[in-house]
Amino acid sequence: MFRRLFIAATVLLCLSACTPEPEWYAPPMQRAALRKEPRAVGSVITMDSPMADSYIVSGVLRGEPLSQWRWTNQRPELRFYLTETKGLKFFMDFVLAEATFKFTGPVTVRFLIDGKPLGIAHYGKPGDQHYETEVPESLLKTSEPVTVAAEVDKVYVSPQDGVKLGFLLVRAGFEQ
Amino acid sequence: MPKAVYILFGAAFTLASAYVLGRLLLERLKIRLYREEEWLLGLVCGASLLHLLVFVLCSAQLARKGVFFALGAAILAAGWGRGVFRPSRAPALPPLGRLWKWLFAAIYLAYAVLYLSNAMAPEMSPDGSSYHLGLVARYLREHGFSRLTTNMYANLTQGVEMLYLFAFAIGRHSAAAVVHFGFTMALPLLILAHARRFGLPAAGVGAAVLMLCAPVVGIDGTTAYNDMAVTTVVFSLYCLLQIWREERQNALIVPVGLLAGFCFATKYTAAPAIPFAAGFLAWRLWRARQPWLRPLLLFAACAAVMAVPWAAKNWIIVGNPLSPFFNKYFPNPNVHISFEQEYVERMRHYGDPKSYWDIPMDLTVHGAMLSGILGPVFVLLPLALLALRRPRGRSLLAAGAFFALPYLNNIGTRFLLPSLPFFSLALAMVFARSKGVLPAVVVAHAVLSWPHVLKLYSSQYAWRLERIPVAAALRIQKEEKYLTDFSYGYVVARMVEDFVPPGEKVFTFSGVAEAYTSRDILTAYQAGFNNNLGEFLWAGLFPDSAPTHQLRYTFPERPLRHLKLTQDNSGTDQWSISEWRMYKGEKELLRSPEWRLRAWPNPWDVRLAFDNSLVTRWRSWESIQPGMFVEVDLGGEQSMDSVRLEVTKDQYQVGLKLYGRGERGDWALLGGAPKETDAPLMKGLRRAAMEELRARGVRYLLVAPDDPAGQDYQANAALWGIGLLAERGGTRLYKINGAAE
Repeated sequence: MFRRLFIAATVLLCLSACTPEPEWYAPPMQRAALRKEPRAVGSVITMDSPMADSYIVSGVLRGEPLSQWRWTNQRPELRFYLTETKGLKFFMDFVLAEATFKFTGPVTVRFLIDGKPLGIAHYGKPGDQHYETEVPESLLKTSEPVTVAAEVDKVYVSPQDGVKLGFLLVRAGFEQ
Repeated sequence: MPKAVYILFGAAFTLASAYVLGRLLLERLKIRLYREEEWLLGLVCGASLLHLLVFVLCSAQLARKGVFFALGAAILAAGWGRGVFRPSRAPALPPLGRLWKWLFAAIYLAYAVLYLSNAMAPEMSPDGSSYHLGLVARYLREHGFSRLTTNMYANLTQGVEMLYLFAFAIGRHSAAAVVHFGFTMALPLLILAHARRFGLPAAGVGAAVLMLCAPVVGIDGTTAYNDMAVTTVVFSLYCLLQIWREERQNALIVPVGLLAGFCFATKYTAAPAIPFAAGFLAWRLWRARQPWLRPLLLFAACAAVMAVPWAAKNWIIVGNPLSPFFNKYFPNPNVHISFEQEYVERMRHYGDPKSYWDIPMDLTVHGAMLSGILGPVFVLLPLALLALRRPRGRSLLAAGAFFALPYLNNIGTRFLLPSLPFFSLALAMVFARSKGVLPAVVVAHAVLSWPHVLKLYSSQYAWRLERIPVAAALRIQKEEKYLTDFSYGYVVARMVEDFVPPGEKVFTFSGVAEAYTSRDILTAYQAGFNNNLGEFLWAGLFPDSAPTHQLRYTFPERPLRHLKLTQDNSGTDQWSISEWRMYKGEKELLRSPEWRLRAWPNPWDVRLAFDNSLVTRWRSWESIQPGMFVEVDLGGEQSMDSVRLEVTKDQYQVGLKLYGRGERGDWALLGGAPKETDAPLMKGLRRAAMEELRARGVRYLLVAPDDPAGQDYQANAALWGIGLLAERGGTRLYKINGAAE
């Protein structure tokens, strides 16, 4: 009795290790052909967007995720992808923090598109700021992203780590 | 009620339930032991029975706090009724000498305080907080075992974790660690009891202290690992075998079988306990010219009661009774053969020691490479060979050598633990023969192993106890604060818990402290399904993982129904096909539901070569060997004149032949050698990779700071189609956006 049980168990174990014939499968659902890159960036970005990192070229410090603003250095640069170039305005919403303004005093910001001058603005008091200007069509393109820089003439330099703080960036982009 | 009370109650309730079960078993079998042995072996035998009861409850989806509580209460009531808590009438072991008694008591109590405070402190050990308790927490949430195929650790036997589950239901994470602490503290007493039974009290104290104070015992045995519990079970088995050898109580074969099976149920590396015990019984019976078949069958049946449920669970859930190993013999989609080979190889070499001569010093003094230290006194371990002069010494050294064998497959220090009680006792026997040596060694070991002394000579990276966290143990210091201060894994797990909705899956290349999140974590290396997800992402990132190469087989147009691609070479490369396309002229044959596809090996993924996605691929997931094939049945004859394979370049050793046949007839070679070309530049693979993850229900991605793709996820989040949700200490949590987002 015991011997039979033992033999049956051994045979069962051996059978379980046998290689079975592979099964047949039907073709799966077909994936759509994806042969081009989707647009990485659009024409407007707010700093609380999860996509904000994709728009930043340089000069913007990392903030808490989903924070409404981010500190910039002296020359923050952003990139945008435009689908048209006619009749567009560039705008930027930002904040001059009282804490840094105490040290810098009034500041001048020079805006550039792909390194070419777009405009200059002077800010004599801290707080919320809005810059907006029409953009000549000749400065824009749709074939590849355009880069916008905002150059501040004076920055606060942190005595602890030497980081240069320009302003708090909230939102920027192109709109009709 | 204070948290500390719950922790202690959860652990004590579990250990008491085990103890009572064991005592009832020993009493039922009328086994005669010394009083101290009744306590200790009762606890270990009962642990095996309790583990089995919890296993049954998990299988029946009854793993609930109330059920455990009722079960434990019933066991304790039964024990009360049978007089288990009354003073035993069994004789006591021969007493210890005064010096040894006080020396042992002082060291044992000091280390008990050190270890208990660490065990009660919030659990944050790497394996404990990731999978040992991660799975325990999952079983409690889901009230038992579920069809979990995406975590290979769930396929390991979890005998000790069943006890943790019992305790965890009441006292949560730290209660499980305190259960382990219970085994850690029981083992030295068991060593001492065994030595006293055989007239070696001084050596018993020495061995007990060598074991108790070894730094790796301290760190492992006070967390929710399981090595010290495994070691205690192994040594208990040895004790029972020695008692059987001396007294030939036939009833002892039952607990011997149960504990041998329990060894398998606690850890695969302890599975050799089954042949060890079977061989011991058979040898002794044969030499005494006694009948051997019936005792061995009784032994096998008892061992099977403990071991078979785990093998059966694996067979049912993942198709391999010994998963995650032996996948070559039990092919299944859940653990890839190539992964198993890499994993085993990695465990054999750990941090790639420059020389095997580095191992002894790292094991005993430094501890940087092999995770854990035995203590400098164990440098003297070769002296234990002098114990070969005595029969008891030979028996101990033989057992130690046998249980050290699995160490060859995993050279981490803790994998030596099952053999350490034997070696310690043999070494102590040698020291005990020279007056004054053994007490000096015992005191030196106890001092050198104390955390504050240990840090003076061991590596700063050694895995060891670092503090005596009494305030955290008693929860005077908040658990959250303690874990946040000392456990980065906890911080990341809480980020996942805070930002990922319940029921969602998170994919990651690194591990997560799963014991602290209820979200479904898919770690890339932990299962076949997860391996594929990782592959998709790598295809989006690295050209070598994308099909940048094309093979075109051209032949005179002919009607074909069956096509078969065979691989006839041997080598270390793996074979893969990203897309298989068939053409008539320039027009590709449209894939039809009537088609049927199969492959060997890895038949389960064959459809990945026919899904029109360039980031997915069918892959052999094992080194190439002749006989591998992929086959297509078109359901009816179709005219064609070429076949194009889109493949990755990482398969230079592969040798392919394409065969075809119509409705009737024999296979004929098609096209000879294929024309090889580079594929045109592919774009959009990143987004396609994420779409594959989404298609498999994964909407979140966790990226560790050292993830090689981390920078690319950040810089090209839009190309991947992911958005940053949160970041903690460099680890980023992304949400995978839908196609329209």
